[in-house]
Amino acid sequence: MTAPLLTVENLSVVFRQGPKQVRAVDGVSFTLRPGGRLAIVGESGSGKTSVALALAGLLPRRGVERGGSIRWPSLGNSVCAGRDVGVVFQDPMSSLNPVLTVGEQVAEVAVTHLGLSWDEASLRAGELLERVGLPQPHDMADAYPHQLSGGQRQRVALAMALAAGPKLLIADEPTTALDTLTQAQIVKLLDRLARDTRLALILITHDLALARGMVETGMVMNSGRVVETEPIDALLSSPRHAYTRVLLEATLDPDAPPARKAKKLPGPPLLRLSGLRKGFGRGVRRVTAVDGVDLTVMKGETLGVVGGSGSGKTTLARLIVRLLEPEAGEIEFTGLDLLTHRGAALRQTRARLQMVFQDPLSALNPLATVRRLLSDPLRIHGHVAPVDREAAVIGLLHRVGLSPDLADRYPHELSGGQRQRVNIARALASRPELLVLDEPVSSLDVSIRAQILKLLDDIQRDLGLSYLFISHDISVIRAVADRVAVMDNGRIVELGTADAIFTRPSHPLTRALIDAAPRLHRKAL
Amino acid sequence: MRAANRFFSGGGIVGTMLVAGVAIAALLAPVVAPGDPLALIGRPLIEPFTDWRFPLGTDRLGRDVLAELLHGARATLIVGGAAMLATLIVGIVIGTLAGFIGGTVDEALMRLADAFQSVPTFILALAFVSIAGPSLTSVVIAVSLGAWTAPARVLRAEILSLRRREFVDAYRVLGMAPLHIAFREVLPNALPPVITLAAVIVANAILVEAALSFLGLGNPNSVTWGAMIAEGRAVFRSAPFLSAIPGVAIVVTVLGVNLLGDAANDAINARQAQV
Amino acid sequence: MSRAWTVARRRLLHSIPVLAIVVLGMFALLEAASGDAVDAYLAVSGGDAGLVAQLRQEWGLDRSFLARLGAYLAALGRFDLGWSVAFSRPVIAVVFERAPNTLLMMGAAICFSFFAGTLLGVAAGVRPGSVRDRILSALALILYATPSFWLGLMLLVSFAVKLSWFPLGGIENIGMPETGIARVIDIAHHLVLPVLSLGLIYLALYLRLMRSGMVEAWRSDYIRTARAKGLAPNRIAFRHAARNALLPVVTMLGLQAGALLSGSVVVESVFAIPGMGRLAFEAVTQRDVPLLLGVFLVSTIMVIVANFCVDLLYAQLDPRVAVED
Repeated sequence: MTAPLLTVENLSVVFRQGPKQVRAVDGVSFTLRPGGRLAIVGESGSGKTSVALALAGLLPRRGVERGGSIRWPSLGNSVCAGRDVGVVFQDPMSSLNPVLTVGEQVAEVAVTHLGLSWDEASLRAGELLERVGLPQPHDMADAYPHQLSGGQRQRVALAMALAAGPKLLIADEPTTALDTLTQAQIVKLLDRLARDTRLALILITHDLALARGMVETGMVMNSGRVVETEPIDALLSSPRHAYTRVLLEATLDPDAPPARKAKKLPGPPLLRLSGLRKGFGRGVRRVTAVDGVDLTVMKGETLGVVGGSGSGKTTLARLIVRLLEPEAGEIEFTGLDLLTHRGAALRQTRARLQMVFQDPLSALNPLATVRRLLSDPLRIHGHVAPVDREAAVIGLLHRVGLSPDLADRYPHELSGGQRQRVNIARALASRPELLVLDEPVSSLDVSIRAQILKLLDDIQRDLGLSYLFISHDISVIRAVADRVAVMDNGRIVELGTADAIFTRPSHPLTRALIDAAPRLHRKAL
Repeated sequence: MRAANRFFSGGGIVGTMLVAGVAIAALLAPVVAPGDPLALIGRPLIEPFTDWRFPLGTDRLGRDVLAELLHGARATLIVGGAAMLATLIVGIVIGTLAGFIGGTVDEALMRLADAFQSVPTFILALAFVSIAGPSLTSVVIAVSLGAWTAPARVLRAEILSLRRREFVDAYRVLGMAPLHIAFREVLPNALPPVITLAAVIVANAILVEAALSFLGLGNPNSVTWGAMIAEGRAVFRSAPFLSAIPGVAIVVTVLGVNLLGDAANDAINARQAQV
Repeated sequence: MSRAWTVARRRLLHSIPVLAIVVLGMFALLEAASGDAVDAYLAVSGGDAGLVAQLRQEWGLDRSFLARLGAYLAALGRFDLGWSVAFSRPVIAVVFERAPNTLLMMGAAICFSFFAGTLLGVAAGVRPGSVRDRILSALALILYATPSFWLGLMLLVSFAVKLSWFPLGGIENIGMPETGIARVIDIAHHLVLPVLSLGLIYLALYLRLMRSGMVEAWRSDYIRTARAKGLAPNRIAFRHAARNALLPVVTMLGLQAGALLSGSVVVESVFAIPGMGRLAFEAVTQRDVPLLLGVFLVSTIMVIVANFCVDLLYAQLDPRVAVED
């Protein structure tokens, strides 16, 4: 039995600021063998990042109390960040120094820990950049972070973390900021690198499905405590703790049977788009974000629109709600030509066609109370008399599952899930028939996401609404959509019922998206 | 709550005390030192702290330094306050126009701001005062001519950044009238960073006014600290205290204003961070 | 290299309308002043309607507005800034005679305040909240609240009068003109106190800016990464934190050109240095509007040129600038 690489016993981390104190980590213990792989799974506030920082010795020096012990038996108990432990963080753009070249940032690790000269270290940097799969690595070395894509930057971050040949790599949400296809590539890269060098890996993530493919053991954390620690397969198939079950249920699976049967409600289409086109910029810099899109949304259905970043789906959403003017094409809503509406007529029609935005915090006026946010649409559309408005506001709060006590709060006093409920309530205030939802759950925690999706489902059933649901995450689309449109480069490349798309995808992009999504179970071949 | 805590940290308290002190001195001037501060009431060049009737001494014409100092406090605060108001009003109007209308109007206004910023502010003030003649109004205008560009730019930047935020889009989708969005929803969010400039503007106004008075171009009808320093310059070899004392008063006042401004800045940033 | 060209081209295009606005503004001031000039002359010397007409014709005040504007612009094109009444010489000659002294003083003040200020700012910002930081920050606060002319006077009193270490004013020893190295040393000796008066205040500014830049940097993600890589503290402080904190400081440099020219007006007056700043003051006291406006224009052009150079420098330091083109 070889000595373990890392033994953590009763680790606690307390942040103090004046009289306030926050117990971020409370009594965490685990062991990791050399070359072993552990996933720390939890949502925001679970303490998982604080554990990572404690292991790497990166906790702030002041205002923090660390308890318990962290021991590295096979490393002689003096561990140096960079040399023995490499760390990769979530957001590659802000993790890299914007004014230094990528090559220098990799080379400096080799200079510091391996005693190489700058010339030798630059050579080694080039080799590392090649190993992490960057094209033309020696040219890349002279590039600056802002010239690289998100996936490329994360590869650079990996190169920096591995440059000195550490024994352990800690990856804190390494793919959360990336789109689905890139995420799959980075995960594969991580797996290969770790295997090639017998590197131990601690993967910190909120996504159980992501953890499944990568690690042997899973440790679930909630509010600073360890909820359960099990081999990953046991964790996923027979979780013992209620919280783990909640996480598991909230994890969406692209292979799950469709949540809904395709609805075919009687009547003409609620929304019809023909030949919609919108571009930005001029001359060589022109980008056609939406390039001839034809789409319909039927009454009572949820049309899911899925695509990567830059596919044009957000522009499409903004065109439909008339935040942008199209260059060509038509938008027909309940038989009316939306593009000819102006002024008062437009305002009236707007009441029936509303939008729920992606970032719940940015979508709410920071200086307005919840009450004002919800009474604004009532006031603008005037279908509720002033005396009845207070009751209407309370009604809306009830509808989205919020207590009326929250009416006097400001957005920054609400949690992420509560804010998104307010967003939804605001969109419902004018009694719309169609809701355009642009990535409504992408910035929410896993368990909250499940609640919001259920809320949206309930509301749709109760009010007979139609949804145009936009997301980059194919698993989410799987869970909500009756019909699916796949978008790429401004065009719809595939359109069909959810069943057809997921069981018999025809377009290569659709297939790639479905394959790249993390899954809870091995795919049936 | 946290915002209030940040404000009343060390700097904020000291700043408030200093500014309050100067304000009280200004208010009490006619009480403690009644009559014309420019009256010749004593022997010339009495050293400070030697004669209890003239605690800070007398100048070379026999005027009471303490009286001049206290009355000078009034002039200083009046100029500081008036210049701040004028600068903020002009800056806010122009910043709002540039930020909301955009396009050519924005371009033109920003070029105008660049032009005003390219001329060294004091030389601009000199030119204006020399052509308009020295008076309280011309001093205030002279100071504002150079200072309005800062609040205008800050407000414009805030408005442009807010207009891209989703809550503005949400209001448009809700069907809210554009003017209503601009003035009732966006502007109140844009103003706090501009207000934090107020302290810097006041501090700058005090220093520019002092320099103008030092050169003899200030308001001829009132006592100002800059003029006192100029007066003392004539005898700076034998009686340096005449120039030193009003200078210390300026330093104390500007320091207090800066501390207050920093504390207000911290408090507003704390609030924005929550938001 | 192409980024530098992009920045340069953009700056040049941008400066032209700015300069145009300044010139028009100057013309407006000239118009406002000239009206008085005739009256002022009459008030002093007396005269009748015939004399008024004659003066108006001599000074070109009888021509139409557009003609006057045209003549003014044409004159500017020939580098003719008018005639200085006070010195009885062309304005441009007077200004260019005085300019070198001011530029020398300003250059020294910028170098002093920038280098000393940023180094002290790094020293303070390396460990925010430490004793060293608190002392430096307090000093900076006090200095920043100090009027430059008063600082000059106090320095004069302490070091020139009481201690006699430095001369009382002027730029060099007029009585015994020196040559070569001795002259350089003499001028330097005369400039120490004025440069300190101007420079100490901006030193405080750079100190505060650099310090707050460092504090910002410490909080950033890329510093967390640098620590995670186990880099030496010095390298993190200088190559990572300070290198980024430098950017807003360099931006400030451009804005300082105008402020220093402003400051030079009073400092040159206090130290009796024959420079452009003091020239502006003399123009005001002698009611010599063409001279005042001449200084106005030349100093504005200096500021535009300084901003241009700073923009190029900034483009060197920040690789994200001018990428879209």
